[in-house]
Amino acid sequence: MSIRLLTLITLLGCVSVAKAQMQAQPQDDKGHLSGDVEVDATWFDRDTLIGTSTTQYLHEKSSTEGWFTLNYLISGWSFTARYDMYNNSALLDPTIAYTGQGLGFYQIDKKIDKWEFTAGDFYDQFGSGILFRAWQNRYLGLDYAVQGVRVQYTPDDSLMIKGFAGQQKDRFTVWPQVMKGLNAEKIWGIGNVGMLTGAGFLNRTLDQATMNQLANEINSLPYSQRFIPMYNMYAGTAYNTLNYKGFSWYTEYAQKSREAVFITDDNNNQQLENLPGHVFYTGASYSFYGFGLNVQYKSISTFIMKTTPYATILDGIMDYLPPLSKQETTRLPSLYSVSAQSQGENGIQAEVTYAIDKRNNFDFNVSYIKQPDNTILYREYYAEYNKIVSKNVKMEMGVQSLIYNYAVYEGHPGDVVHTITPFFEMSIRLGQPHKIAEGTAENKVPLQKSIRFELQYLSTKQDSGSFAYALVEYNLAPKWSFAVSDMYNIIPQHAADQKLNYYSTFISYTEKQTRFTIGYAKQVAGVICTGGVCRVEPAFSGIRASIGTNF
Amino acid sequence: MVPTFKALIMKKIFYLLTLLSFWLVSCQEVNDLIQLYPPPGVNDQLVLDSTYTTNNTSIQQKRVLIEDYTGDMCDNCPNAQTQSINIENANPGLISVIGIHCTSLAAPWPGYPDYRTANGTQLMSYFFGIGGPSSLPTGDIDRKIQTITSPPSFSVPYSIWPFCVDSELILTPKAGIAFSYKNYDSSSRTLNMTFTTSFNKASTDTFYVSAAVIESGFKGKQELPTSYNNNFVFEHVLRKLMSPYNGLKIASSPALGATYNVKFQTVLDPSWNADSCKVVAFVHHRSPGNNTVEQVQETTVK
Repeated sequence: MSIRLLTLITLLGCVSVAKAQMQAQPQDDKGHLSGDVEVDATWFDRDTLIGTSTTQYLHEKSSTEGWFTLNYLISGWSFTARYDMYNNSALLDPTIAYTGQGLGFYQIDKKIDKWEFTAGDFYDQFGSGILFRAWQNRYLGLDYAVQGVRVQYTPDDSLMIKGFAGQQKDRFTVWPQVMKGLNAEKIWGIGNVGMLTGAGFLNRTLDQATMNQLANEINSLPYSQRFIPMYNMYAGTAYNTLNYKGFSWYTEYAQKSREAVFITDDNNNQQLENLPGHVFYTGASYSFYGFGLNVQYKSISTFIMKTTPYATILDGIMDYLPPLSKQETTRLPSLYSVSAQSQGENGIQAEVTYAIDKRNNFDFNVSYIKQPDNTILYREYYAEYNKIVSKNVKMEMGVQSLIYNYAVYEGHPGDVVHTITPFFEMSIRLGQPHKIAEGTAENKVPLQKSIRFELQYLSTKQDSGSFAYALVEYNLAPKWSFAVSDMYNIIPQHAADQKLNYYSTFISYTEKQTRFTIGYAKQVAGVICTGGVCRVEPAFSGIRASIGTNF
Repeated sequence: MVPTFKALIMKKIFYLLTLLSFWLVSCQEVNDLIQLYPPPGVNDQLVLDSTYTTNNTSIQQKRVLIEDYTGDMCDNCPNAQTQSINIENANPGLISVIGIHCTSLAAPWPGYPDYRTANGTQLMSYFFGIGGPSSLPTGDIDRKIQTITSPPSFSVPYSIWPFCVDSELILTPKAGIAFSYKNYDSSSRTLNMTFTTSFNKASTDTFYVSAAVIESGFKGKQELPTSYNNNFVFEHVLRKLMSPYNGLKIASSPALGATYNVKFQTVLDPSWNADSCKVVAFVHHRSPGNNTVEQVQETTVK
């Protein structure tokens, strides 16, 4: 508590300094204050049929999360603070009810000529983030901010050097391990060929308590499996982006030194081992008129970058490994989404887009990912056709075929899932687009009506069996949106299983920059992914409401 | 084209980053929290239990020890293992092999165990120096300097092992070894054993005994000349020595019929299959230029 008070006092002190500086500035430089607020609330409605049995359904019955961020910019200074609140929240770990609140993020940043100094919490990354990435995704309950000091030097537009030292945040405290990093990037070129070349270095040092825990565990292993764990993990990366006209090629190689990591075997048992790791990642894209091609290859070998080997699942991750799968957004095609396996995988992805004309275009995607021992993890064939039928009607149709290693991605035994998922979507604008006269008050702008349909069918003989999905969404843009959907377990894997409905309703209302949503939903258990980071979530049944604004 | 000042600065930064990486990685850490090997004591130590003189001075058939220095990242090493098995098959019951994984060519593959042992590294350093043999595979036959090579050499390529073995098999050993007591407790994985060394000829030399646990028949990853085998079956792998790496001294100038009872107790690592483990015991010399094995015997753990 005293640390938080000290932090607040320090922030206030810095604001005073800034204010003093501001007084030295011209009178009209009062700086710029901005921010955003979001509050989410959930009411849990137990449904034993779909298997909702986490603590919130049994005891707490509701949960709330809130974030209030303030940014103040003045005279090259930037002050940021965010208040976080979690009440009986399942967001951070779906199996527990977490309660905590306080200063979730604070930062002081100052730009002086070519230098930038940051103290407090910060988000950042080196290159693509394979070596180091500090980031957040509040909807998955992830916050990998680093708390420490960062210095960046940018002598000109083509060169950047930065370094930092600190500790990764762990909700309202920090992990005891220390990390530091150095990154340099240079933009250069030869003729019409443009290059961005970079290199990064990262060091993470274990604390004594973690080392003692490791030592106890290693000393309980058979002598033949024992090893000397290292306090320090060193990792480096080199990367380059080449651009030539419509062609772009990114290549990165990262290597980390030997350290104690937990390896999960085929039976989901974890074994402590002393292993180095590396990643090779390359991707090329080419676009020419209506044709686009994107090819990526990635090879990972035990590139487990955690602040401590005892950080579980998504905790304490220091980097970001890009997935090699198409990022689906619709319900059934995204049901079996994947994240990169830091323990090891080799994969390739190729996507081709082709626009015949302004009204017709195609999208084809192939992904193939396997483990180093050639066990298949994921394979996707995807084809999509988009057509603009008229000014008011757009449609999209396609099919997806998947192979998905259930046991690896979901973390518990299960057959490899094979699916075929045809899908169809149509959007119809009702009426002609409105022409809004200049100076019309916002509350006088007529609402634009539209309706959207989604139909999907996922056919599989594994996991929970086949599903059908339908959605109808009615919009009165820009204020109202209403949606009703149902995901129906049309052919359960076992004939004796009930054919369950996972229906949901949704309403959103937007007033200027403030948006309010409320909906009742039943959601099947499975993997929830955002940007290639996935979490296995239990089934959900209940009401979700949210209000968010920015200023 | 003359590089610009900025390009030179950038180049220096990359050099500095690279140097920094190497410098930091090369830093040695001190960590004495881990007990890598069993503590010294009665366990895993040969103990000279008793000595006496017997009238039974029968001469044993000479058996031969092959020490195969090998590694799982050595592409020709499987050929040496095959050669040792062929020699065993050609001379049933007369050959003992110890496979000593050593040098960086025996570094563990990711996800696989390290087959190197502290005892194996000690043996390697004792016979080849700290860096180990200049190449793998290589091996010695009865720890004898072989004159078939020019110049004469302690370690010889596996292609000439059969010739060296044949030359040894026709010799008469000055001492014999017999296992007189064996008890393996499966629950505690504890092995108690006694073996007896008897001299059938008086000698003015000093003699030592060594004993090793070896394991065969387990699978792991092995480099091959053009590929890898993730299910390679390793044979004769040294797991531990119960003796000091250079042997336990038992006799100086033994008389005819001099007999020495040597016993030891050891605990088998849980990761080893006791059904596939053997104890190899041998009596040998230990002096500069002469580490010759006089006789070797082996027996199963169970």
